[in-house]
Amino acid sequence: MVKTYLPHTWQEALFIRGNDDTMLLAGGTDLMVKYHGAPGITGNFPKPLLFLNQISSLKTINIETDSITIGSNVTLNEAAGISALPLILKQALGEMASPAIRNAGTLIGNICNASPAGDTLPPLYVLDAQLTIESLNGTRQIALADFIQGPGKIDLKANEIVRCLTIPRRNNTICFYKKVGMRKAAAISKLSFAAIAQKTDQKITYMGVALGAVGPTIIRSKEAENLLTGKIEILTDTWETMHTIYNSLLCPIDDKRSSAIYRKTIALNLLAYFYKEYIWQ
Amino acid sequence: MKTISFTLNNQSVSIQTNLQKRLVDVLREDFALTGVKEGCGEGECGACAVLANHKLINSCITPIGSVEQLDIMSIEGFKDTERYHILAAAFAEAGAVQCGFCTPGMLLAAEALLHVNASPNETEIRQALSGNLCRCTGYSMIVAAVKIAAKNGDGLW
Amino acid sequence: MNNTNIGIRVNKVDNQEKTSGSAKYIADLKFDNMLYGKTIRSTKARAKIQAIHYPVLPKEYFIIDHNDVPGQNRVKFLVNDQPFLAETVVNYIGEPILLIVGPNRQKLKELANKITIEYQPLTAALTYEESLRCAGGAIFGKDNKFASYTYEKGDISRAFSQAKTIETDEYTTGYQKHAYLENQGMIAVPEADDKVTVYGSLQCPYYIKRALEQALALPEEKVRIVQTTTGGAFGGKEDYPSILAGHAAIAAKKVGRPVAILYDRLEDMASTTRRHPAQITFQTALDASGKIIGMKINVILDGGAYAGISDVVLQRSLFNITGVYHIQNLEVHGCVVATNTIPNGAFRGFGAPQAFFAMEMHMEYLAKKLQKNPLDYKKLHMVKQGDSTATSGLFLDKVPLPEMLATIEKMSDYTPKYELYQKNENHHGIGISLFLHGCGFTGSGERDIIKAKIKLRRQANSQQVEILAANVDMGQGLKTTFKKIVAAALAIPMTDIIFNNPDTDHVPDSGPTVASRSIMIVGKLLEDAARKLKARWLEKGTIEITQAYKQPDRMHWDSEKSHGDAYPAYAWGINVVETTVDPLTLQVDVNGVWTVFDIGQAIDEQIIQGQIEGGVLQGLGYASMEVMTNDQNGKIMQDSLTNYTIPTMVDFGKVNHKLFTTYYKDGPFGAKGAGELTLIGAAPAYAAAVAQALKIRIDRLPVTPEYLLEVLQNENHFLYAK
Repeated sequence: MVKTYLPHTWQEALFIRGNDDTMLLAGGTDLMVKYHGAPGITGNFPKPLLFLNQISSLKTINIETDSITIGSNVTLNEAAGISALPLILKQALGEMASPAIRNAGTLIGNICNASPAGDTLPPLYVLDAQLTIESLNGTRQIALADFIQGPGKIDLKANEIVRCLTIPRRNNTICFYKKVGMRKAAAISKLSFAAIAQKTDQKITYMGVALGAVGPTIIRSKEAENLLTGKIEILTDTWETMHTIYNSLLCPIDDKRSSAIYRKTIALNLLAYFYKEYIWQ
Repeated sequence: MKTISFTLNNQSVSIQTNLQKRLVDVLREDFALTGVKEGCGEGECGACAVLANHKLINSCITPIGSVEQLDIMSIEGFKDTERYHILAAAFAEAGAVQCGFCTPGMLLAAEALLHVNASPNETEIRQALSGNLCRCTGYSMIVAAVKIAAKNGDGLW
Repeated sequence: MNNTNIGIRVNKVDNQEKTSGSAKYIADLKFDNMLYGKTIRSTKARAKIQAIHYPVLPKEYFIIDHNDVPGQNRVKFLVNDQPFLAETVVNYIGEPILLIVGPNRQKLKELANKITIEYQPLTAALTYEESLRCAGGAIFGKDNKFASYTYEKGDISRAFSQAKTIETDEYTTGYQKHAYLENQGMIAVPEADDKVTVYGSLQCPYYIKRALEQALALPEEKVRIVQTTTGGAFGGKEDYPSILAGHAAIAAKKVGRPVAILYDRLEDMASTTRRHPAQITFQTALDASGKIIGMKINVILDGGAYAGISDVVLQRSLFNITGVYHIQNLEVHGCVVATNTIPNGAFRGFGAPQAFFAMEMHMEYLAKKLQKNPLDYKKLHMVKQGDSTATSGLFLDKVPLPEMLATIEKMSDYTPKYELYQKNENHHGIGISLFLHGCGFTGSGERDIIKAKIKLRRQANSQQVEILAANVDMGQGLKTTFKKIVAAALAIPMTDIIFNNPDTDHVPDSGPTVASRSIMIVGKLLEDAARKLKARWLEKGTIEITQAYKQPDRMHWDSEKSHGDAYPAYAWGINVVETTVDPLTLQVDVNGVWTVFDIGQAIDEQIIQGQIEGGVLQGLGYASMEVMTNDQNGKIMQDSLTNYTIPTMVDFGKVNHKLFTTYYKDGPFGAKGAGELTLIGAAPAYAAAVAQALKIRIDRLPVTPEYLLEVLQNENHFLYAK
């Protein structure tokens, strides 16, 4: 069994973080599975655990005109209940895991778990979400896409804690989310697809496409998105170029949940569908 | 070892424990509440579900450190309520109980749903109970039971 | 209550203890001085054990190995080939080698991690092909075949010489895990005078009792088995519990204290039995009109590393292989082979789901080849009363398929939908499956092996009657239905009937809770005994009625030749499944499920509804999402309920059903078997629907989106072109 900390204030938590090499636990729904206990046996945690649940300031949800800020103790279900939450994220949260997991698991926990199949990640990538990270030494902001470095790998130093997540508010006129799970509920994604766009006067003014579980991290290509952004008339060969870009970026694996060829084929199908049904016309 | 204080089935309790101990073990071993079942140990089946501040959680993936100051209700506490009796009678009427291993968790999931939505439709019931697996009934009779309970318990939720 | 309304639902007798959480399952029990046991298992598919290194054990901790087995270190099944604890070799990943026993589970885990086992790896046989060529030398016998059978009917060579065309076709099916919600567990308690009592989650108290007598070298009176409330079983607690109970009892005997061995989900997934994968090949002779005039069929089942009860599973596959069709000339071969994988075992349907999937899909295939409507083609071959069975027995009773078909056509609109979806390209499909279930044990097993016996006892000066039978309620409602039968026959209230969880010290051997036999066979013994008791009701003093099984006179079976009536009665079913396939993702939505069943008189219509809804859903899971595979080393890949997905509440909707009642005179109040029948038809109906939706041929279970993609790509058929 490892040492555990249950701080009641943010400052206390930062202080513990600064003095011991800990693992952060908010809802615990990922960590408790990963380090699996069994009847009469506690999980096999590799490091002391720092519980965040008593820090009430991390429960904060701030809705501003241009952004929404969500604290580290906000559960998936509480996040889903934010009326101003972008639809693409709301859809992902609605299909994610099960009600009991959504009541305990946190949005920021799902991010920090950094699973390639993490269900909130593709929407948060296209929304250009940012994280606020603090330590006793200060505060920094980082884009989500930079924060996640690989499967289970994040840019978080031993003395830091993610304080909150900030989602810019945009008027996305186009929104398409598709999770392809192993079944219709309580399922891990075989792959997922999130796309949003703004279209004004036939012109795409903003676009984001992100794909989950088809590579070590979420795949988003600014290069491909830029092919469309700002264009009035979309050339027929644009699709071919986009397809080529994504085709070379998607590198899924065979595992116990699906096959690489299925993941890649279906991801490209969804991309083509999105392009045809939402963008082209 | 640290002290964790919480409300368990309407009573204030404190326990000296390691914070990483699973809530399911605390309930079953320390409080002998064996109506809380363990089916999968990873939050997948809902047999261990309890209510935390009236919301459904899986006690097998809840470390006891997360329970500080929460209001926990297991089937043993819930069974003394009028709402339980309505739900139990509805489960009996609909034939929704077979092996019974998922049943306490199902009842608590139904209670959590009815608490926020007193007259749910079929889709809402199926969504709300989707994290509670049952291998015996095929679920439809459980859905019917929740509908019966919502009707017979009108005004209780 | 009179006989005609016995089927009217009643509240199940165990509802209250289950809804309130007060029912005690095995993991809820504690005994004074109880220790826990943990199983140390092989990490190699096939190897010699060269050395085992142990940590220093603290006080109260013990290691148990094969030398600690007091009697024979073999689990008593049909063949005694499986050790309780491995001796010199291991034959699958997960095979038990040692037990470590002690008071603290956390400490046990730490100690277990410090045990190291040195192996000399041997070449493993993991596939049918490797098994049949005895890769690495035979695992079992000389040829790796646990059992093989051949039987014939009619004149097969003449049929094939007269054939206009011969069609060849092959089907494969995968594993299925029971995924009962309650994991397996047993607690063994040593008693005075060398006796041992084992409590546990189980289906067959007397199977375990016999296995323990052999393992512990104890006489009958020294072994007692008590069933605890059982949280689902589906066949999974038929055979494996003999091994687990053996482990607990061997350990308890050695340490002289109660020992609990309670699996968690990961251990249950990775070490208990699964449904046998199958490979089934047809060669079918057709006449000029396309009618089947003969079939040569070959069935191979994968039995895993030890024989277990695979032999009997194979028999059910083989004797049901022609489905509900009357095939005049037949040659059937089959074998179950050994592979270095987890031993496979009983699972609801017991070899039949594989056979019916293959035969139904083969009929679909032939109809398409002949450009005929599959249902018309099936009707053309459907058996009727008086026809011969595959094994040259007779369908003695009415075959209700025509009325059932008419009803389900009306319920589901099968034919107009089928015709519409044939023309449309919008990925809708509808499939129909026709099937039967031979109720009870195969052949004369009931008479020659089981020899069931029950007792009814009314104490002196009491109005209450106790049922003494070894069959268990594992969720299927037996506590309610047994009481209902006896109460109805005695015309007394159900509340006056006592039926406790079986305890072998108190109940006679009425046989295992398997093969959809409990109601039809044991229920009939109860009914007959109750009628005898009623006739003597006014007698003073204690009355005890013993009733023993007698095979119906009309049944004739030659087990040497696999010839005659393989089953005393048949239950019937038809399922229709309607689907839509998403062309983007190849995910399948089920839009409707319609079912009709003839199980004779239902003892409780609501309990039967529960069997139907649950059985069909388990069948749909088998058909669609329940993927279980071994990796290249023979280790299971989907080892948790997260990765082995069973249906949730949102995956499929309501199962519509209607019951037919063909009275069966040798069943209680006319009842036949029901539990297994309900699972059999879902997979072929689902597969046929998906095949129509995509205009492809399906020859494999489960029908996953990944498999559909593979088929479409092989056919160079792209649903969603960019």
